[in-house]
Amino acid sequence: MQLNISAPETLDLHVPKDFVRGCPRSVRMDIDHLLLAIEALDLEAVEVMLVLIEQLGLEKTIPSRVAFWRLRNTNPLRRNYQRASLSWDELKALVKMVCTIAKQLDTGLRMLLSTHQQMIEGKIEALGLQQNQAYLENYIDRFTSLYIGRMRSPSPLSKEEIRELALQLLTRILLCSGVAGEFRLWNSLFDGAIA
Amino acid sequence: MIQRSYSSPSCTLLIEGISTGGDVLSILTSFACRFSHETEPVVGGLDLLSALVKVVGAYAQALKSNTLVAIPEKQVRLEPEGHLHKLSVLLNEADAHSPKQLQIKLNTIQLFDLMESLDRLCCDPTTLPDLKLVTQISDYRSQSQLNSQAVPAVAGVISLAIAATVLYFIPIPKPQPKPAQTVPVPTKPLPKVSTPPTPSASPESSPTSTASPN
Repeated sequence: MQLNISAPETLDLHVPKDFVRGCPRSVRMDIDHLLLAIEALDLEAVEVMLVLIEQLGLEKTIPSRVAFWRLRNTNPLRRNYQRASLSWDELKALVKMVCTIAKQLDTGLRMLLSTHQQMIEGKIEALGLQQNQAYLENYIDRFTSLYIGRMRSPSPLSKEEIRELALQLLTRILLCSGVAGEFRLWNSLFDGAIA
Repeated sequence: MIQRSYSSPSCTLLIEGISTGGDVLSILTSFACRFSHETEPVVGGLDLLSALVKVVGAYAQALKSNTLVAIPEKQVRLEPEGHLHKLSVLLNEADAHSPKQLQIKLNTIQLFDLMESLDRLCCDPTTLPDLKLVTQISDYRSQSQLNSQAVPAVAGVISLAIAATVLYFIPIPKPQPKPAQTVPVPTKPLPKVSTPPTPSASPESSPTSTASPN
């Protein structure tokens, strides 16, 4: 696999030395799950992402909507998995896109996460925030239906596990919305991955 | 004297220092980190600030990859407590007479805000350029994992030793004298009964069903 780090449009993220056999399975799953959660947070997100491709200067890596779809289908759990892998440039482009969108979703993310916190503490009724709880449940429902629709059938995860994943992804998206989000997300993808 | 502040919705980081030349704040005199839900700020010098950067950076990174880390740092500790995160800071370490332990509970959003303020400081090239972002946690994780990985191996060796000791006391069973073998009786072939071939049964009555067309 050729590493094309010196190209000006790529980020200053370097591939860990051990990963000589290309992008690991778990990384492809992770990045696709993040994109799926973003889609569940904002129904327009896919269109925004397609606009972002141009704004971030990623047309070379992701030339079209179909190419983008193909990149997302490198997740081995996908129904349309074609045994294709991601190149490092493509992974970098996706990381850049996730982080850029995460910054825009910041307010909603904070609301959903604090609602989840209030649910755990049992404060929803007392604070009269049933409406926010409904938003959170909506997000989880949308994520569940996207997950079941896109992943292979029978679903690799149970309903309960999908819910857990949806909530966990909220925290992850929040953490990559910061200034150093790209570095943090990039490193977290490779953390625990098998080369 | 230069003051710089890095703020996020629930956390404000105020840096005070001196510049040695140009715009760059290169010597830190003190910093204060204030949380919106906590009256007492975290105040200290460069040691505490770099410990804070290290611990919070590694913890947040581990949170994202769903692993636990043990960061060997005396002054600052950050550990999960239920669904919250407990930040314990040892203030006034230099002044041995009145060391003070400050404990602040943070939820995920507040932890993110703290991380974000510190990240902004690390990414700012004009303030303390030596302060680096912490995103690599493999060094910390390996320590905590080594202990948990050693447990099954040690348990396996111990259980093998116990089993060997117990089995040592069990007497070896003596071979039983074999019962006298009975001579096998040769099987007698069955007398052949030759059955005369029966003449093929003549069809008694061929089905003569005359279909009467109606």
